[in-house]
Amino acid sequence: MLSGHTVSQSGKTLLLGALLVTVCLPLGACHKNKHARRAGSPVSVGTLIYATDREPVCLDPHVQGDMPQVFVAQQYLDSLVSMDKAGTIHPWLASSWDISPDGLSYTFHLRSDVTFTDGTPFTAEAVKANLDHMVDPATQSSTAGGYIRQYHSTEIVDSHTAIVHLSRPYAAFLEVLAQGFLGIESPQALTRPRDLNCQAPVGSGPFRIVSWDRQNKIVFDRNNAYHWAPPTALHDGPAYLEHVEWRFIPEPSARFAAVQAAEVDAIDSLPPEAETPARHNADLWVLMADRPGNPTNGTLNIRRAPFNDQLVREAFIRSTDIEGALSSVFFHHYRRAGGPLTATTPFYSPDFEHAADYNPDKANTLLDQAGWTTKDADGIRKRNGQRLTVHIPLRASLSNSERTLWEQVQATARETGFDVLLENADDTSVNAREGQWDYDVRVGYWNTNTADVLRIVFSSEFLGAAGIAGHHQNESGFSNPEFDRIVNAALLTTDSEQRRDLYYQAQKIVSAAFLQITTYPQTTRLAISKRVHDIRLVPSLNVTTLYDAWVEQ
Amino acid sequence: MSATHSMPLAITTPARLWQPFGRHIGLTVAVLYITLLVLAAVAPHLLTHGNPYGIAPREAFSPPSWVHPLGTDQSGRDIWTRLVFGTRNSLVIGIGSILLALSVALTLAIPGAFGGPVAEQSVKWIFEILFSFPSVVLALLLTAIFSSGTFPLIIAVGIGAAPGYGRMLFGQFLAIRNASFIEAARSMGHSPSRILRSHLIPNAFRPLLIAGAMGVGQTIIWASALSFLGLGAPPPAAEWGTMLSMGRDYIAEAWWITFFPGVAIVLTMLATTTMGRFLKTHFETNVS
Repeated sequence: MLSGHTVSQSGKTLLLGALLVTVCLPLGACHKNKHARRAGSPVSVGTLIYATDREPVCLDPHVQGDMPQVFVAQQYLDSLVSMDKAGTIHPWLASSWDISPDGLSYTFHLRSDVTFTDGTPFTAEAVKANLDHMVDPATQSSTAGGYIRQYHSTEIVDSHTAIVHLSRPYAAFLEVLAQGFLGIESPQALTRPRDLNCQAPVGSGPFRIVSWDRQNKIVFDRNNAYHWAPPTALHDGPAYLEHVEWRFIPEPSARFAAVQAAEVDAIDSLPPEAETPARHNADLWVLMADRPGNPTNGTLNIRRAPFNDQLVREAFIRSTDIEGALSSVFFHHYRRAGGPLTATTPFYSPDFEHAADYNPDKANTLLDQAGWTTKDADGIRKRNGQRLTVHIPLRASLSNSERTLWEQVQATARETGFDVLLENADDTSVNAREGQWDYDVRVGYWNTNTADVLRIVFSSEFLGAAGIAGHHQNESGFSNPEFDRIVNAALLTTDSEQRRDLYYQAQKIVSAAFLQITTYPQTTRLAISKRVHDIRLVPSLNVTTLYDAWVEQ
Repeated sequence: MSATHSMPLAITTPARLWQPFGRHIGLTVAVLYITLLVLAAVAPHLLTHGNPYGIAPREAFSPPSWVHPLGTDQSGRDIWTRLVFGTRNSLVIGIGSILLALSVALTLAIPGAFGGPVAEQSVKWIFEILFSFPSVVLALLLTAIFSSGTFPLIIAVGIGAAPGYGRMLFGQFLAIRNASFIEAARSMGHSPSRILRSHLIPNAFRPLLIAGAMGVGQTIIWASALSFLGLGAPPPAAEWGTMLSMGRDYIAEAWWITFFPGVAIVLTMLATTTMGRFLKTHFETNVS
C-alpha cells in the first residue's frame, strides 16, 4: 500500500512536470510563474490537517508538561512575552515591563484589548490566576511549575498592571515566560475541575479547541476576534485557516505515507528513514530546527550500584558507540550532541562535546580499576560474585529508531563486559519505576530555552518527586553543593559574561561527573505539503505555530 | 465425528507412513522445512557462522548479497543468522504453548466429563466464560499481567488457546463416556483409572495429536503477533515477530528486514498445517 502510494504520487508528479514543460517552454515564463505561485498572497479559508506522533495526556500545558502538550498549547494560548530567533524578549500579552533593581519584582503592563475565547477579558487577575495555578501542587506541574519555583506572589495594582514577586532573583524568568508551557489560560476556565480543563482548556490564542476525540484528533476553529499577535509573527489579525485538525498517527511510516498521499497537509516527528525521501519529494518541503536544552540522553542513576561509582559510569559511556547508531538507524541525519547542552542553548560551550567519546580500551581500563576484573562464561564482568548488570526500562511510546539506538548501546557495552537489560514496558509502569529510582539508565530529554536547564536536571533542588507520576526532574540523583552554588549564582546576575563563565563551570562539573550518555539534539522535524505556506516554528522552543499558515485553494 | 473417534486407535506401519511422500510434493516440502526448523532450533551453528547479536552499524541496511544472503537490519545484523537463531525461540513458544493449552484443556475436560453432573455444569460455565474473551485478547491481558518475555508469552498464548481445545476434548470425552465399549468395560468391573488409561486417553489421543500439530502454526502466529506488539522476549533476542516489528518502519527503504521473517512465519504455519492435515486424513482413512 505504501509503495503503491509512492509510485502513483511520483507518477503524477512526473506527468505534471511534463505538462508544465510543454506548456511553459514556449512562453519562457515557467520559473517566474512558479515563483509567483509560491509567493502568492494568503487566503483566509480552508482547513489544515496536521498529523503528529504522540497524544498529550492533558491539553492544559501547566499540568505535567510534556512536549506534545506544548505543541497543542502553541495553537490556542498566548504568552505574556515572546522571544525572537536571536533570543531577545519582545512584548505579547504584556506590552511592557519593569524589573526592580534587586531582580525580585517584575511589573507587567498588560494589553487592554485581549479577550479569552470564553468571553473573559484578559486582566491582571488572569496573570495571577495562571502563575498561581502553575505552582499549585494540585496542578502537578513538572515543567511550568518547575521553571518558576522562585515565584512568590502576584500583586494586582490595577486591572492591567500586575507585579510578580519572586523569592529569589531569576535571570531566566522572561525566557521561560515566552514558552508555551507557561501560556496564559482563561482564569474563569481554570476554576473548573482539572479533568475538565484538561479536556477543553480555554486561551486567547488564534485558534480555540472545539473537541478532543481521544486517540484520533483535536479539532480547532479560528478565533475571529484575534488581533494581538506577537511581533515575531508574519501578520496580525485572525489566522488564515478556518479550521485545524490535529490528528494522532503514532506509526511513523503511516504518518509519512499520509503526507505523501496528501491525506494530511503536514506531519511532525518525520522519522529519520523518511528524511531523504521527503527532501526528494517534489510535493513536500521540510522544516527542521534543533530545540534548545538538555539533548536526548540516557541519564545514569548514581544512587545505586553500579553507577554510584564514577569509574563505572565513565566506562559505560565510553563503551557505547553512539556515532555508530547515528550513522545507521538515523541515516546520518542526526548530529551527535556530546555535551550536557544542545548547541542551540544560550551559553552552550563546544568544549564538552568530546568529554566522553567512544573508547573501549579506556572503558576496559576503568572497569579493571573499579575492581570489575573477572569475566563469566558470557563475557560479563563480575566483582565479588556480582554481575555487571545495567537495567534500562524502555517505554512503549519510544520510537523504533530510539529503541534500535539502545539495542546498539546494549551490543557495544557488552563487548566491554556490561550486561545491559532493555526492559520493555508500558508507559505507566516505566513512570512508576522512575518515581522509585528503579532504573540504572533513564531515557529522556529536557527542552527549554535557557542554560538554567542544568539546574533543573542536575541540581539537588530538583531531587524531589514531580509531575503526575512522581518522577524526578533530576533523574541522575546528582547532588553537588559547588554545582548548586554555581547554577544559582547564574540566576542572580543579568551580566551575560558573568553568566557565560558560570554556565561554563557548570557544564564542566557535570561533564566530569559522567552523568549522561547524550546522543542527539531534540529536533522539531516537519514534512509539509507545498500547498501549505508559512508554517513557522516559535523560536522559544521551536514549536510549530499554524497562526500564519495558509493553504492554496 | 464421534462415530469414528469412538473407534480404537489404529496402528500405523512405517511403510504406510512413507507412502504419501511420493504422491504429495507439498507434504515432502513441509517435512523438509520442519526438519530444517528443528535443525536450526537444535544446532543453529550448523546453518550459520554469524553472531545473531553482533551489530555492525556501518553495514546497516545492506540488501541481500553473497555475504548477507537475506541482507542486514538497521543495526547491521545478518538477517539469515537472526532468523536461524530465532527459530528455537519461536518453536519453543509454539510447542510450549500448545502443550500448555492441551494440558489445561485436559485438566478441565476430564473432571468435567467424568466427575458427575455438578462438575460437568461447572466446566461448561468455565468454558462459556473463557470463550467470552476472544483468545488473542485473553493472551494480551495475560501478557499485561505477567510482563513480557518468552516464558510469559508461552503462558499467555497457552492459556489463551486452552478454551478452544478444552471444549473440543470435553465434547469428545462426553461422546466416549456414553460409548458402548466403555459401558462394556465398566460392566466387566474395570476401575475408572483403568478405563481412563486404556480406553479414554488412546481415543482422545488422535484428535489431540491432530489439533496439536495444526495448532503449533497457529500459536507461533499468535506469539509473533504479541512480540510484534512488543510483548515478546526482550532485546536483543532474535524473535521472528520482533524482527518483523522492528523492520516495519523501513519497509520502503529496506524491505528485506520485514519480508524474510514474515516468510519464515508463513512457511512455518503452512508446513505445520500441511503436516496436521496429513495426520488427520491419514488417521481417518486408516480408521475407516
